[in-house]
Amino acid sequence: MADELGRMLGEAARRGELHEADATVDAIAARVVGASRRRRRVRAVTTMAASFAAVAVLAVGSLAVSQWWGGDSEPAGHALDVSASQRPTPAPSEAVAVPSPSAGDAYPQAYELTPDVLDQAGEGWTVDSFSMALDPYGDSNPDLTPAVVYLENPKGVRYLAATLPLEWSHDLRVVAWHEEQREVIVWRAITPADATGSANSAALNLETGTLTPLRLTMPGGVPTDTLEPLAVDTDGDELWEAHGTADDGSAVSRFYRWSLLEGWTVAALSRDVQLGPDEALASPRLTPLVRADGGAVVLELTEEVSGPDGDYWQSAGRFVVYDLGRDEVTSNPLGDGCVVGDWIDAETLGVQCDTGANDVEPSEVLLDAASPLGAPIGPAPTPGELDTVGQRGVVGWKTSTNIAVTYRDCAC
Amino acid sequence: MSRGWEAVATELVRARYGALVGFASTLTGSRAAAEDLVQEALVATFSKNRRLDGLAAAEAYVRRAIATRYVDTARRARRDRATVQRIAAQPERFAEAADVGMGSREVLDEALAALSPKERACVVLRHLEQLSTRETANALGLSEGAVKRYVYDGVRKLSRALLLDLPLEEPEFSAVESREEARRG
Repeated sequence: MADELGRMLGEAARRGELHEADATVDAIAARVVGASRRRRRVRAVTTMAASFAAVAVLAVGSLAVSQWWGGDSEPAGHALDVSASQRPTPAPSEAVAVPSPSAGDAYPQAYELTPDVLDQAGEGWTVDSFSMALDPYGDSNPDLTPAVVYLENPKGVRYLAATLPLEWSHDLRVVAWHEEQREVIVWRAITPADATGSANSAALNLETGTLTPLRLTMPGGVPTDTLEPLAVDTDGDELWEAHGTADDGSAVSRFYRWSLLEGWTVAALSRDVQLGPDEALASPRLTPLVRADGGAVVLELTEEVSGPDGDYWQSAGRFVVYDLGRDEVTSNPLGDGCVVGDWIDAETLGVQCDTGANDVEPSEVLLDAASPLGAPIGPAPTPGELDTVGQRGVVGWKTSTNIAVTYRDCAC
Repeated sequence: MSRGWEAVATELVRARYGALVGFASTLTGSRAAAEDLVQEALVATFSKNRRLDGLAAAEAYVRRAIATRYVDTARRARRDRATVQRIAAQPERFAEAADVGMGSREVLDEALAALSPKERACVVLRHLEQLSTRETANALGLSEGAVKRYVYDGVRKLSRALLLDLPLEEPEFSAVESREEARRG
């Protein structure tokens, strides 16, 4: 789309070009390569550690299982090298070994998911998803293999819940488990190019294997284009961020909450936060400020102001903390030149403040003690820790969802 | 990516580092910040195995990583915005361009500086990089509706600041199935 603005921007870019001596550019290249090598070594160590952990878990059931990539392509058969007392349920003679999905030997082996197996799902069980990890900047129509969803018992035995259609296999993760409804919620982080207008989240029925796209209707009758998961707590309450496009082309966004008792409702973030005419809630998606247990989310308020040089966005001097379990939101002041950092504990946030000397000073903010935010949290998971091989999602029975599952590789 | 990633990275820096800094400067308004951004994006790109078929593909990837990192970093580091606004008041920060007068260069740079980071990134990716709305949305982790809004608002502001009648994109409409249809489906 050649246009006047593009031409002007191109000239601005050419004006900003750097013309360095060859020796300087060579030094920069060497620095980039060296830093990249170091980061690759760190990532390789992390991957190996995760793989050893996964193998150790599976060895408890003494079931020969293919590795995630490569490995044996044939099922291990029905014979298990365990005593009768350690036999996983159901007994191998009652379970039917299913062939690998058409993806070949890239997926773990699994048994058929029968109704009586589903009846036994409880504490210690997980729902696992395996999908290709796609490049968000790459080909929008790559060659895909189907994403698969398994139920896994505490001994590491997997049962095949569903093999998903290809259009639902773009960087797919399972993000929530509605245990009573026997369904899981899946989310594809990348919308395929040929899925214009399609939903990006869906409910997968574990009994029937059917997939139902999730759509909500926002004010003005605007249907949701995308529904993005933000947090899932231990009680199974969920916070979602919805986006849609109104008839006049303007963007509409809203926060929704799902709970077992009430189903889909408008979250207090969109219901109770009083915004000024030029204020907006900054989406936490790119830099999520979700507490590790999924129970609370921080959003900063920004405001558009007019200055001598034009309009621009700046901090509105406050942030809100949303308690997912209670569906309540509290407002907290934010000092001038400060931004919210990370959760330190259940009631303390770290902030960074610009001292005005081209430097930042870290400090802490103790949140309103009159609004306790629940149980203490553990160490926050790092984004990408699930991204060791392909894209894997794991949601446990009656547990919060690891916030890393909503992370998208943005090359940042 | 095979062992050849190091050769690709080295060749990319040697051949295109200056141009990448120029691209990043349309976002940051500051050459120093642009250089930091480019080097961080290069390391983030080449520190993972990626399928990058050739130099052009690698550069395209790095450019999108620059834009994404700019949005994410600008949101969390207020000092970057303050730096941009200070720099915008100082016209002699870039080399002279023979075919662009001092006056128009100042006005464009200052007009860009007045956009929010997301508006700026969306306008640059749509109009300079010629990405589609969907590609821009995927690159920046935004919805397509949000990209359209940011581009619309950004171009409108630039039009006012530059006293130009820049064309605004017509909103696009796509058929969407109803919630009831989804339930039945």
